[in-house]
Amino acid sequence: MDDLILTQTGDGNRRKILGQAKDLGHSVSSTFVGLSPKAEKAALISKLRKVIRDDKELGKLDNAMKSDTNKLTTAVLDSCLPHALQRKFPANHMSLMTQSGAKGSNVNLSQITCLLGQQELEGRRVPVMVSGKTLPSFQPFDTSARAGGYITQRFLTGIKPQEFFFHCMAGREGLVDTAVKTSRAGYLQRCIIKHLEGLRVNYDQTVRNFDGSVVQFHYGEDSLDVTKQPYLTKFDFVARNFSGFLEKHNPWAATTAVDNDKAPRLLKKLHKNANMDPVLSFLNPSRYLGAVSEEFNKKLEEVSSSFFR
Amino acid sequence: MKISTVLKNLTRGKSPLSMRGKAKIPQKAWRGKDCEESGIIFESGELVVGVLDKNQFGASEFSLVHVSFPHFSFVTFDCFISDTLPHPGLLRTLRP
Repeated sequence: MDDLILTQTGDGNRRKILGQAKDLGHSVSSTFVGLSPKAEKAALISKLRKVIRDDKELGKLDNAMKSDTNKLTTAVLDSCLPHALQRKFPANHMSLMTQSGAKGSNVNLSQITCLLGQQELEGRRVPVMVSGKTLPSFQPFDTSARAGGYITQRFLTGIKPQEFFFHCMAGREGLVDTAVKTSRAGYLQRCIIKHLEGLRVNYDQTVRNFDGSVVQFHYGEDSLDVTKQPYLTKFDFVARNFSGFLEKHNPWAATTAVDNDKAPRLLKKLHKNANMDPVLSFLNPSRYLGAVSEEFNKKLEEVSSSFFR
Repeated sequence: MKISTVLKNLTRGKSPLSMRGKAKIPQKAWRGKDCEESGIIFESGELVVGVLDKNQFGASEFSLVHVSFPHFSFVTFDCFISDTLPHPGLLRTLRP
């Protein structure tokens, strides 16, 4: 358990930051409806009645509240993790577990040690019932962040019933997402793939449909289009293993095949005229060895100029 | 067995692998301690500094496993990631 306990100063800071934000909900919703942050409760409620009946307005209020509560959450987390843990990193088995990626993440650690934060349902805060409450135990038109599903409690010291219920609501949505959305996405994928079954990549690098109509002019992913290889611009790695690459690829054989003329000349033209199409659209790299993308050329020039400096 | 031993044996008679990488645990996690645990240095097939973790073996970009593919021939790469030795006949035909 001592892996999860904050130091006394850390705990104090957490309490202080959360205490300072006690009337955050009131000030945010007051400014949202156009009143001063410390407006009268009755005036605010009469304005809020309209907001709560209008789904679009309620969404905007939710976003305003969420952005402020999220700031509060990050403020608390920044003040506590990881330096305010009673046991510091290598000796703290929980943070060792999350940091090394063995199991769990930063979210789990912060939910246990600091706070749960804003609970969300379908990208919104907890929905308000017709009564103007989010749960029967709250006052109608309660503007506090707590009534909107903001949880300042943590798992280590326990969650109150209202907060627990909100957390369960958000947790169920996660379950529904995985259960329902996988089946829907799977069927959707099956449908789209059915429409794509006629596609093929041709030898001129175009993707064409069953009737020969062009769908994409150039198809490329890692293994198919060498200009998109991830190691192509890792020049430091190539330089470090220079002899190894020489053994593997035998670039001398390519020297006679490389066209050192056409592509650079086109590139020069391109520099003068910004509206021109890229070099690769004129010189297909699978035919004209030496034709490279502008981006690659730029990076190569940078590296070679830094070498010869 | 040391990883350097494996690498050196696999690249016997060829150029060894050199690379730089980053460990999963960042430098700032080792607060106040002057250590170089977060960087990985392979120099000429020898592990000089660093811990090999998820960032080197897992599905992360530019990990040791990924880096070794463009460097090795695929036969050598196959031996590196599995526990088999290359078939002698294969080596004769593929090695120069």
